[in-house]
Amino acid sequence: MLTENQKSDQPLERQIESLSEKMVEVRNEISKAIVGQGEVVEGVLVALLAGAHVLLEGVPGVGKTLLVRTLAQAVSLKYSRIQFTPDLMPADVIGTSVVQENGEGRKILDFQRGPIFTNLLLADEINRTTPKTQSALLEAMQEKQVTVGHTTHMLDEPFFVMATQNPLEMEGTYPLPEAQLDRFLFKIRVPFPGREDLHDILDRTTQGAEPQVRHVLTGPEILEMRKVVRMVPLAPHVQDYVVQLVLATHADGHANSLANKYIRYGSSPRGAQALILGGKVRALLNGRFNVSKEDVQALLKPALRHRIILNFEAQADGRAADDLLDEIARTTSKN
Amino acid sequence: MADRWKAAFGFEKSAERALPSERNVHLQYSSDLQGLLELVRVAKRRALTNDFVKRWLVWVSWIAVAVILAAAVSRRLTGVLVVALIALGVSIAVTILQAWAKRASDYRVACKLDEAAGLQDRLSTALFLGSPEHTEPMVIQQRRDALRRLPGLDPKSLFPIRMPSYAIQTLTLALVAAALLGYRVHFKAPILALVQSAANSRVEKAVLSPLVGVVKKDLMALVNREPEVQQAAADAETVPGLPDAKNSDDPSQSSKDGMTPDGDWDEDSQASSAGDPTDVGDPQAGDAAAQGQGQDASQAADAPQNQQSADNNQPNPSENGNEKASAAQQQAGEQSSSANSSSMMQALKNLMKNMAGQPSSSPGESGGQPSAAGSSQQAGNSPGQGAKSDSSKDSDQKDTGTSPGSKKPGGGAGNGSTPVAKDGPKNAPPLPKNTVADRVDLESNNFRQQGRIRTTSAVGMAQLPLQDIKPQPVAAIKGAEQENIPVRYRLYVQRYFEHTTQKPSE
Repeated sequence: MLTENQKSDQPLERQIESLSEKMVEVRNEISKAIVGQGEVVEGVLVALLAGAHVLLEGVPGVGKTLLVRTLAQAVSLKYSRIQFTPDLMPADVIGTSVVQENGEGRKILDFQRGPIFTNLLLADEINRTTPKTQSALLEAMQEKQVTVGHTTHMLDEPFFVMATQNPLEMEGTYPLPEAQLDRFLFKIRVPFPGREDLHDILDRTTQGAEPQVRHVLTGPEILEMRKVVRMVPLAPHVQDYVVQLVLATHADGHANSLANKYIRYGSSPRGAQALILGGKVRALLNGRFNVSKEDVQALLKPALRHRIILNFEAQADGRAADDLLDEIARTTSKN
Repeated sequence: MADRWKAAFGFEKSAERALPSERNVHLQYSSDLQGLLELVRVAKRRALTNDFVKRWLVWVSWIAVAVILAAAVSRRLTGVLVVALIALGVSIAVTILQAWAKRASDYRVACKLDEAAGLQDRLSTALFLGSPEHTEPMVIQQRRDALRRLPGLDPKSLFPIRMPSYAIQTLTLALVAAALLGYRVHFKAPILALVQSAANSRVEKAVLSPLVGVVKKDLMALVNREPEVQQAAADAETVPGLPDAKNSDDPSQSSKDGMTPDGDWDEDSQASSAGDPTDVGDPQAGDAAAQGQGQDASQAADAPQNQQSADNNQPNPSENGNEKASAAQQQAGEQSSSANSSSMMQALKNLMKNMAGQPSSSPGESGGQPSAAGSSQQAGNSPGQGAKSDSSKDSDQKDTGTSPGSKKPGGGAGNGSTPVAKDGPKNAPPLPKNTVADRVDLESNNFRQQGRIRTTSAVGMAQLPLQDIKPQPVAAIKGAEQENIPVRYRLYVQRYFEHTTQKPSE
């Protein structure tokens, strides 16, 4: 005999169960093309369900582009790819107005949508274009709209940008400005595959046909999942833990000694939002209905590593952002 | 510094900060959460117990330290015990209040339960959203998820009663305190006893020893000529066939005991009995007066001990010549090292008795002499002259100022005043005045270069004790110098002993 609350819970419970099943299916489809990289796939899915964007960083050939393409195929969304080059202009991304003749023979300005008008955008090697072009993505990524002239064009939902960059070839590149970086929910490092994974990659790509990825998730389902994600409760001590972590990246009294020494500027509030939103998604993906501190800790590096600015001393000492975040996580009390 | 002290007594600020939203945790929970609340309360009690033990052991450590210090110093063991028991009671009360005031909330305990059981904040979130007003579907789902994991939780295993890391130190301190209290039941406070013994030894060395040493040497000088002392030494080891050396009334015996009248001595004693005002500080007069007092048996028995304790490191003068007796005295002196201080005190008492008893005997001794009062006064002052350098200097200066022409070697009516006392003032020959000048000649006699004079003794015959007198060791003289005793006075006494070994016939 179910109570009133239990009766009202049935749709939500089914939604959550459906979400978990769908996510498992997406993972399975991605795993057909991508060998290993479990954390990268999970990070991408978390960002997708959180409604934010992902910056993938890795050396060439580790499957960044393939991952985005496979995800696009698995979720059945419109997919666009922009290869960012130094001569790429903002109009090439957003679109431009061209002169056309209408049916009456009069010439009018018609807006031709750029590749940004899509659901899943792959901004390949985003750091190779100029800051002017990079900034063309700012409004789209945050407000999910594009303004051309006096006209604002709304982007389709879900809008999900997955950018890649190569950390090695820095010659002729334009590092992303902090404002641009802050728009990305996560910055995920794509590691080089291990021995077993490399064997598996060779077996799959050099023998037989390419794997066929089927659509298991739709755009509306993703939007529905995003709503469910935001309903996940958060205990106050977990939220306080997130606040402490973010404040610990600032060298203004809350930071530890290492952060004071090496960090020039800490995380923005978007970092805390990323931690909590990502934690909620991660909790649901793991079958929980609450955010735990373990979720926050697991997402600390991808959510904050691109939001802290190191000083010259850190670069001179060879300190990376991940080292400082490990130290911050270690020294920040969980209670 | 203040924070450190607060932390030492458990008053430190709690590391757990109260969250703003935590204050809104509801006191009324949904009926679904009864099992969770019961679990949280059990865990809360155990956490409270741990907190109490942790805080109380700090107090116990301090109390144990205080008890150790007090038991080591204080004389009143009962007071220490009472104060310690009161402090323990107060510490228990204070610790209970502290633990109760700083007790964790249900929400905090739920957080600890989550952490201990690895529930990833399920219980704490459920408790935070446990109000009946929270009817959101996701909250209901979350609550069910938390309650599903309750049966597998055992709060006793998750929250064991643990001793803090410093429990061993506290236990050690408590054991030491208990052992010290047990020790104190039978013994004195160790630190106090140590300090007292150290203080006594220092005072004795720094203040009393010089004075006592001087007095002992003076007494030794007196006792060396005292027949009762020799009698006591002879009693220590009875030698059959010994002549009666104890009879101090026998004038011949007294003369055998070194009381043989010497010219120098005789003149000195006569000068003292004559009451020469210029001879106030003459130590001979003091010796003579002391001998004339007729010391009692106890004084005579105590005197060898004093002498022995004073001369432990020095060769025994063996004034009576009885080696066995002196060896017995030395053994007795070594065995009575623990009674050293008491013997010194006894020596002081003897001295005081000498000083006090002299006026009573002086009138009889010098009743027919107009200067008897002056002589007894001189005798009373003479023992203290060793310590009083000024008076001794004065007396010495006066002695040296006398005329050397008054010397009468080998003459005189007796040694010191003892024969005079025994024979009575009427039988005493007329005392020459100012006989001190002879002592000046004696000082120039280089008496220390004289060889020891030993008399052959037949088997079965008692040796005269005065025939084996040795010169006073140089160390003693130097010691006397260090003790601010005029060397001349010391040499004078020593010379006296050597001089008495010369028999009148010689």
